[in-house]
Amino acid sequence: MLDKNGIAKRIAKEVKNGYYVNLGIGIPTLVANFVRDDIEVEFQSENGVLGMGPFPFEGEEDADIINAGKQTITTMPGASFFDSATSFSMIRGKHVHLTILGAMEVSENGDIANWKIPGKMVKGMGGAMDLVASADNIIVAMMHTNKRGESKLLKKCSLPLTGVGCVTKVVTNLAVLEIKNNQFYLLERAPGVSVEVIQNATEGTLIIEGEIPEMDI
Amino acid sequence: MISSYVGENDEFERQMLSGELEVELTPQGTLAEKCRAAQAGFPAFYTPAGYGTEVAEGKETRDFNGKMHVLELAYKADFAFVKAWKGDEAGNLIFKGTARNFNPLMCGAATITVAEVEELVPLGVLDPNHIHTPGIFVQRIFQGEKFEKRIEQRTVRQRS
Repeated sequence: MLDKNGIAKRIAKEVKNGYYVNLGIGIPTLVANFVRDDIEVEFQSENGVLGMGPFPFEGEEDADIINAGKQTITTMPGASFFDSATSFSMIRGKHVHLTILGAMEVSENGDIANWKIPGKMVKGMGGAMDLVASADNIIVAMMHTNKRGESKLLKKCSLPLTGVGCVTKVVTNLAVLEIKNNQFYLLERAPGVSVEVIQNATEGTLIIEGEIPEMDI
Repeated sequence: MISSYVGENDEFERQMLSGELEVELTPQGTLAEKCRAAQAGFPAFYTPAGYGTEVAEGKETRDFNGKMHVLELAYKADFAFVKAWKGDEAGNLIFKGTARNFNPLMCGAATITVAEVEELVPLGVLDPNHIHTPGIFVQRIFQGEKFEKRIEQRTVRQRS
């Protein structure tokens, strides 16, 4: 079973040379730490920066240079700042190659819910609805089950949706799954995790074809 | 209150959940474009964001090139209050870092746009090549007295 860093490490393998990548808040933010350093990747944060670098050294934080999660950041050589309309032009106009975001629920037809728990949590959807509606290449990073042990990979989402039919890949602490034909296809198992464990933790339709390899991370 | 992401604002969340505050949550890119549309004189636009979700409820939808879109209206206000880094007496504005965000889009998306700047300079000091928002979109400008820049999530790395 993977921890949050393990999930990020596995997703980092999906990041290719020359990609512009948008990272969501939480596990997705960790992905930047594991991208190979022999490839060139530019990270976009939808509040208005392309070419995001690592966190600043202590004492060098700038309140005017933050990411969408409101964390202090730095910029890389070649970075740029822009307004929110330009930022979402990059996203809506499909100029960003890969979007990685967290989720509370994903359904077998690719619906995603990650912005609201009615009566409990209302932080707002931020850029999540724009991202999932526009991006062709979306990877969801999340734990396979919630704190009560219930599956987050469902036949149908129970929470208010962020987007419909948009998720194609999910990486969890247990597995890598692809979504197609309204089903979850099991691609890889986390180290030491059996197919049976994944099956039991997946409420949606899970297709298991042949021998399922262990993740190489 | 029309907003996109209120994050860790517990007081806002309390007011919203208790019904004290009427809130319309809007996708961030849609909110940006609603302001830009008002500034640019467009009454409305189509976006794929929010299709199939509660955000699209009651709104006109339309298929473009096989993909569904939601009709969103421009958001024209009576007043816009923005904050910039530098400005001059003509109302020209320059923003700093990621503090640009919605500010340039809200300028002119209202009848009266009021800009607070950290530094107000005489005409001719700012290079016209570097202006982010031309003064035509700004009706009032003043230099703020004191700027306390709070950091919500102070994240740093250790020197090795």
